[in-house]
Amino acid sequence: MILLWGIPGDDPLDEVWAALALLGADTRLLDQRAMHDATVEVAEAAAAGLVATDDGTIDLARVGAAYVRPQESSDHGRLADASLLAWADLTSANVVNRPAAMAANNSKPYQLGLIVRFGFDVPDTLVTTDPREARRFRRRYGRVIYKSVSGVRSIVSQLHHEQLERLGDVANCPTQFQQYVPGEDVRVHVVGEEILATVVRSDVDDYRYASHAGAALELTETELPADVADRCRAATRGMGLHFAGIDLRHTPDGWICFEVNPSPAFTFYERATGQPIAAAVARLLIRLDCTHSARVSRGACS
Amino acid sequence: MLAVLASKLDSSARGLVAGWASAGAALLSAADLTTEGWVFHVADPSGGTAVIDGQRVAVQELRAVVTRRPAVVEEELVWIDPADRAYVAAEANAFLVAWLDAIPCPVVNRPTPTSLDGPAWGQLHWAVAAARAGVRWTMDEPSATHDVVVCGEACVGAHSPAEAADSRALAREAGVELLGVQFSERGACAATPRPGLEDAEVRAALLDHLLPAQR
Repeated sequence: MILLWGIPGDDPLDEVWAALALLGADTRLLDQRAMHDATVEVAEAAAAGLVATDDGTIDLARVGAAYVRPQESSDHGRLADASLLAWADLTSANVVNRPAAMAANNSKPYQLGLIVRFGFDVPDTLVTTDPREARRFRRRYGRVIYKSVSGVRSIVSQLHHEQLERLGDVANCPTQFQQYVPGEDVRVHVVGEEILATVVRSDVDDYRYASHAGAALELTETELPADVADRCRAATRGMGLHFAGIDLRHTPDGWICFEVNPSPAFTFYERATGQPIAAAVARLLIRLDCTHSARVSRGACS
Repeated sequence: MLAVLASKLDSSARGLVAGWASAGAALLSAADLTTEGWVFHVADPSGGTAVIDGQRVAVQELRAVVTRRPAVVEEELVWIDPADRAYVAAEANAFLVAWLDAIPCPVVNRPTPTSLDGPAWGQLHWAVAAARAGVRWTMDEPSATHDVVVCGEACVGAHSPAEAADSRALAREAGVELLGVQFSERGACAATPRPGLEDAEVRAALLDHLLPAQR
């Protein structure tokens, strides 16, 4: 059985749910808001248990693959969510993606340290509480962007003259600066071994907010060079992920990697290009469910 | 210098710093993280600077870091505007995860992306780790009789060679150099990457592990 965990209305969850239904997969949707209790215990060095919901009980031992997109816990759901997160880390089922593997994205400079191991160049990055060091960094590169260090969503922005006057504020909080790298943005969705790449053209620093800025935005399907695609697969696999959204920039000198998103909001790209990302995730989940069942029963996966 | 990353309210950490004064120990507190002086280049972690006990210190002068907290919490950042505290705490934690992972000196324990001092595991995780390491683990009403502390290869407080071996196996499974394991009559029953460090023998073992030439 395939388990989807999250809140209906979350576009990626809804799209994968619909794609699995089209493929006739044995799927159970666990609405995070309808969870009353999760009892998880350890059996044979893996986690198993039961989840009680408005719609009955889910036996986690039946789950062979799971797609997890939990949102922030409500006060009354915190304990049940924590139990299910522990299950997602410890179960022998295949989880897209395990919480422990996703956590690397909570520290962007930490994740950059992982990314370089897979052969990608990354932008020169400084984290500092020293305004003079930040000014030196800007003088060195001319154009510098700043963004959050953590997974807290922030708008990626260039450091312009008007912000220089407020640079003294960095003494109050470690702040991340990166060299600005000119080039073409490419979002790569790695789904198992499958690659779906999208070129993004926009004049703003953070294309996710192009419509807010009234700027033009153009997304087009593209194909990656084989060696870059292989690096994307290796980075995804090496970070313990089955599914990732990788942010690359293609420059005259090569490919720069900014981030590996372990829970990508892929519907933004799918709707603009028609790339069948949800269908690819659904096929991946079916395959992972099958390989888990085969492993448990020592049978073959057709 | 030997830095102890801990809250200023952590009396055990303050005691550790005082006990290790001759080794140059100093407290790295949340206040230091919001003080001018930190410089961390991702491509050159050893070339940066830190702020420890209010003083700017070159990373190359750091001989070791002992981590004694899972996270910086917003409630302790009382000098930061209340509206900004949650954001500053998140940024400080994300920064520390990267910095502690990257600096070249010994760090005990190295962080994970979810905790500054090792894995943020609950009882379930420890039970699975024990099963994978072949360690007998009891989860039902554990009534601990004694604590064992692993410091690298040293093991303090074990009642038998088997307990020492089990404790080391759990530490390896968790990927930590410092681990406290509680034992009951039925086997191991709890573990923490943040064991008490009040015991003189434990402190000596940890210092020996961090700075072998110190003793």
